[in-house]
Amino acid sequence: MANSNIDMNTIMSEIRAEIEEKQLTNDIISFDTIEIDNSEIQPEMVYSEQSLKDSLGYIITHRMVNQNFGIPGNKLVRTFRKIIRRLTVYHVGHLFNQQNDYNFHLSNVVLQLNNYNQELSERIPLEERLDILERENKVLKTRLAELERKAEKL
Amino acid sequence: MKVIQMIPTLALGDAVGNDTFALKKVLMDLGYETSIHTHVLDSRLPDSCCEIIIGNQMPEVDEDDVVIYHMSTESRLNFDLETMNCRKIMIYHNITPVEFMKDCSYTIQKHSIAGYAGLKNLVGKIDYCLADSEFNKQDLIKYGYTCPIDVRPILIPLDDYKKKPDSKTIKTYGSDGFTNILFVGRIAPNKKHEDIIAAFAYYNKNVNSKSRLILAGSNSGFENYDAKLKKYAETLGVMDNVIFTGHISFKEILAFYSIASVFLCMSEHEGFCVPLAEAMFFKVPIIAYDACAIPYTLDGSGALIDSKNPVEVALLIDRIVKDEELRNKIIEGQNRRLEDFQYEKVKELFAGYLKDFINKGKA
Repeated sequence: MANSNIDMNTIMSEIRAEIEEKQLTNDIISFDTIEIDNSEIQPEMVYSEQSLKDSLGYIITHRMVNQNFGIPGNKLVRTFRKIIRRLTVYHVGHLFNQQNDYNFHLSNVVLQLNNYNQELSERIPLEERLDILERENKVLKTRLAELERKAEKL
Repeated sequence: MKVIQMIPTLALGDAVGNDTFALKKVLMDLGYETSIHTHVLDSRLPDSCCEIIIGNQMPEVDEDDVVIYHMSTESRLNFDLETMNCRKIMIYHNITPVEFMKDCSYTIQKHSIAGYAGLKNLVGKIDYCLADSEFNKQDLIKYGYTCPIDVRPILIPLDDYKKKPDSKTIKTYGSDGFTNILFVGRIAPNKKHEDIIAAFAYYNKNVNSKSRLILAGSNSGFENYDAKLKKYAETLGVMDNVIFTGHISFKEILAFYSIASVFLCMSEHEGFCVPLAEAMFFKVPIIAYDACAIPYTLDGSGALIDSKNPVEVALLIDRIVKDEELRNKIIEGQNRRLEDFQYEKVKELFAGYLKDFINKGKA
């Protein structure tokens, strides 16, 4: 390569010879032996039904942002803040309404997806049971046909 | 004629993002009407730095215009780009393959798979490619790209590195006589931080106990891997001498480079590896594992090794720290290589490629 001014092969050979001469051994344990509990580091990476229920409950009760929240401060500060609120309501109110519309629809999507997931979860065992019954039915029909043929011969 | 840039995510402190900003300046210097367009803008960057792409509403372009698309991750832009009726250049920064993500969440693995799906989708739809390295160029050829591909190093504004480093960091870590071994890069599995820790552990316990390992980089998105690395360092009994900095300021990064004795890189997947150029700027001798784009970025400079044996790497660190003649030779070679990354040189290279491309289109 263009810039090579060092003979790395010779240097590494010397190092390897030194290791052999001094009988140095690699006692460093492998990284693969290290185990960690993923749920502790990133709880959201592991499915938790309780966590889902808690968050769904929060979404339902907190999706609307109240633009008329209480004004903190002493009487003078509250009066001043009320005036500012009145002056900016034409602009801020519009933003609140837009945000609330968005929050409603987004939280509705989440809730509907959860409902759909629950329906699917209930449907899957039923479909599996139906599948088993259909196969059993097929076997029974085949046996019935065989018996009918034997009966005819008699 | 406009020459605009498109990038899926514009992030602060990210090599691809920095390259985008640097190229914008170059395009403006060359007199082109230009802008940056992105789907996701890092909230730490000002809104005015780019235009946000909403959904599939691509920027308006004419046939004569040129889009420079930065490809480095999964994005719907990898599929929407083909709807733009203009000439297209792709700058390929590489995508971390999924085999490095086996311990990561399914979401992260999906990003990698989807990224390569996007790369394959753009085959035959790009007029010209620029690759950060020969390694990236070979990747494109492997995926079936037959359009012209040239190699252009990432634009690194090296003058920024002349700024004043953080004095507190220098005082804390640079004044105790410790040998500081440094690696700069996101905490991500492809960068193989565990191999750096293993080599450092042997070095610290058997060669030089007055040593410190500094791993400078954010763990965002790879918290599990970060936790495993910390547990590894604890298990090896060296956690007290390993600094996981997390996301730090530019001034702090400058400070760490200025107090480093050796830069140790064991990464197995890089598209270019900007920190190697940074280490060269700060005259920190580099030891790097021979993989991916690293030999191309070093081009014979630094100390390129084909072994990850912690004993061998530890003894090599010791050799470089103690042998002044060897250290100086390494730095000399690095200084020569750094010339190829000088801003004006890379700018001229890019300008030449761009002009050739535009002129060919007019012919």
